[in-house]
Amino acid sequence: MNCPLCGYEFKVETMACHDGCPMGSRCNLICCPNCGYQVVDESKSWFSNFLHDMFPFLKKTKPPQRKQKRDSKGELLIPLTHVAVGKMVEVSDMDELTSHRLTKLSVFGFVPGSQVEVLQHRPSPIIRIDQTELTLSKEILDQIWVYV
Amino acid sequence: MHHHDSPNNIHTDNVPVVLIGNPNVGKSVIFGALTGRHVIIANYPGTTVEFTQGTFNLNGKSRSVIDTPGIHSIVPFSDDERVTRDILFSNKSSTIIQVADTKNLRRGLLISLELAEVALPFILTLNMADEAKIRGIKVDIDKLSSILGIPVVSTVATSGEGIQTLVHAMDTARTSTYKITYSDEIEEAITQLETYLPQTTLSRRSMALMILVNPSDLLGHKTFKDVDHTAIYNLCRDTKEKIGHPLPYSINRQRLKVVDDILKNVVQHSSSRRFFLEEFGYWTVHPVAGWAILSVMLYVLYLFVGVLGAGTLVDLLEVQLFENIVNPWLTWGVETLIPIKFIQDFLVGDYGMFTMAITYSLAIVLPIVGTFFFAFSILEDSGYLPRLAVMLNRAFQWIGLNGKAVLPMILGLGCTTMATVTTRILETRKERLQVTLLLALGVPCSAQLGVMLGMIADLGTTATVIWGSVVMSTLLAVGYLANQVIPGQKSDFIFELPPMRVPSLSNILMKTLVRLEWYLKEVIPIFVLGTAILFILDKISLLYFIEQALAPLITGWLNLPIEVTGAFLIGFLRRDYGAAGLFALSRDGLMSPLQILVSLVVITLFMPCVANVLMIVKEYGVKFAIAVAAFVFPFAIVVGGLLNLVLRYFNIM
Ligand SMILES: Nc1nc2c(ncn2[C@@H]2O[C@H](COP(=O)(O)OP(=O)(O)O)[C@@H](O)[C@H]2O)c(=O)[nH]1
Repeated sequence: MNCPLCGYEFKVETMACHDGCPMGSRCNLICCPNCGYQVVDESKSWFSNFLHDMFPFLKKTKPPQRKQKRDSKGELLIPLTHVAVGKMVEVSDMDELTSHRLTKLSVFGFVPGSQVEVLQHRPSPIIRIDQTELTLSKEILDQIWVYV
Repeated sequence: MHHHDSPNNIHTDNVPVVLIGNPNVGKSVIFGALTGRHVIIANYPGTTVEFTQGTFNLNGKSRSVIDTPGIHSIVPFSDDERVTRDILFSNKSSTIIQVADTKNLRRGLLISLELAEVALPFILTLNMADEAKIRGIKVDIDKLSSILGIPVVSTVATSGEGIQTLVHAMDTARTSTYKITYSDEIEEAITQLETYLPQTTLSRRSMALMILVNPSDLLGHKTFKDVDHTAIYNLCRDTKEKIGHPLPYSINRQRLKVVDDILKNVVQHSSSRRFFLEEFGYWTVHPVAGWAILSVMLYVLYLFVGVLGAGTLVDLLEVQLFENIVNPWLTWGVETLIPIKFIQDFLVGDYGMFTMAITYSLAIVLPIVGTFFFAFSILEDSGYLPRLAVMLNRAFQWIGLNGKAVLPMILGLGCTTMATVTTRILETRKERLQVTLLLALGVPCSAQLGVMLGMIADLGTTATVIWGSVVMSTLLAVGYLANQVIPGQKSDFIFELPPMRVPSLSNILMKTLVRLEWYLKEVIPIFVLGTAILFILDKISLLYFIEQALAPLITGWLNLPIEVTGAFLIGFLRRDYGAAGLFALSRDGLMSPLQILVSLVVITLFMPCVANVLMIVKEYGVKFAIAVAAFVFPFAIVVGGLLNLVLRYFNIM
């Protein structure tokens, strides 16, 4: 990121104070290594996450870095977490899931090739395959890749 | 339908009919329609842990029919799914009725294909035809029947439509001619596995597939004691390596491909209208509206149970009927008929059978649980409860659980003991222990909750908020600590939401009555027993000594009147009975609002009832039960005392 004060460019992940420090996992401030200016890291604030859950419209328009990849045929894939509510998409690849999760989803008829619709993302994601509605954790959704 | 229970029917050449299908497809309703028996219908997965058996009349002959817990696949991955598989194994040449949800045929066919492999005769019932129609889903029954090679019937179980056709089709059940060919690796493994397997009621091919899907489960069954386990495990491992994916997943994937091909031929979608309830279902899990709906729902529940049940109805019954009419008459009658003081006291004294046990249970608790059961049945049948899992997932994740744990906790509001059984739906032992502990600690059962709502109604909002937040934060804090202390793993949060439905009035009334019957049968004897104990303790003056011995705790630390000792003592038998004792004391004006509040907090967090402790022993062993008891009881007293100190210090109330 770029420091909003001095413009110095740095990587948050590499900063020992942010990830290495024992308090770091809860620390929601980022200090610019150049000028020391403290930037608020909203993603780590419980309060901010809570507010965003309650009032999704508060969410800044800028989404967190978009994840995407291409399948063997070069088609663009995105994880289910990035799919807009109400859009029907086809599942391409679920290989990142643990075998336990794969098995569980497959008995609900959820396999590559299935058509799914995301009904909502918050407070917990809900997806629909055919007439089955499933609620599952965001973490699982993030490992399911679908065609754009 | 007639319902015979004469014992000679049981041993005849009575081939049982077994109902099998996904959760929530209407098996219980079909079972009820066949047998004329009412079974409590629960609108969420995992609640039928044991199977139900009944009989029905087929062409003048009595046949037995078995309702089984819902499954996703006949290869079990959990305890309740195992029940169904074991029934298939144990009943020689049974007829199977597979019940499927017409609008969700895809998942139903997944099971049909497995049944075809098993090679037992079966019929496919496409239930909920009405709901499919609304959604514009049309299934070509004849075509499906000819593809699968079995009879297919369409029904609407709730209105009885098609049930007669189903009964007539019963004798035409056939083994399906449909055969899936899997990929080469799997077919090869099947062929090899078949050579190891013994002859059973199920086909070798299906057993081989079951082993590939979940080897440890099937090989754990007694039928497979003597087969070569090592060789089979090696084979499964090799096959998995060859395929590069988990076997259950690849097999299901191949089956789903076949299913989708069948569906293309038999299902037609026309434009559907999204009807009101579906829409409402989305609002109930909306990040903002969901909370509003939850609050309104709780408030209405409070009005119905706390104000109407515990206020108006209890007033009518306890004060107007029992205190003013029934009890004076009984007292007069007993005193004139039986001249012995001891017996008089036993029947109508301070701890008398009529004046205490019967009055408490019929005049205080009955109207309260009655209204609660009614409201709860509506919530249960509407499909709302599982949606709370979506709303509360985050809070539960904070204490190391997930939204799935919401169900047992909410069911705990019905009966904590039964809810302890349903902790089985949780996947890991750690989660089960954690929820069992929380249930025992602070989830009041319906009767207790109702009685407490009645007491709170008189106290006002501040007290309600304090009580609610003390109990909630205690649960959260203990849950958080338990998460650190109890070793084990968390499970994944993948949970099916059943559709929202308009509950049928007859079903709700029936459920309320069935539950009330349970209450009258199970609970009143315990009330009688508790009263008898108190009576005896009082007669031999032991109650006085106990009161004196506990005085430092009760009057000193908790600052409550000494009379609550009796209420707490019977609270050991049942918490709701203890609460009823407090209710009576507070109505008699023996406690200040602050004392009522403190006593409420103590009785909420109090020892779980005897039945619940026994259930914990049965499910999780004596050691865990003792640990729970040893923690919960002192903890309740400590929290109550601290609350007392804090409230006094800040002069609240
Ligand atoms: N609209 C409609 N609802 C049904 C039908 N059959 C069952 N239900 C409802 O579906 C819910 C689940 O039924 P249940 O018998 O408990 O399913 P089970 O879990 O398979 O035993 C209940 O609320 C029933 O009232 C049907 O044919 N049409």
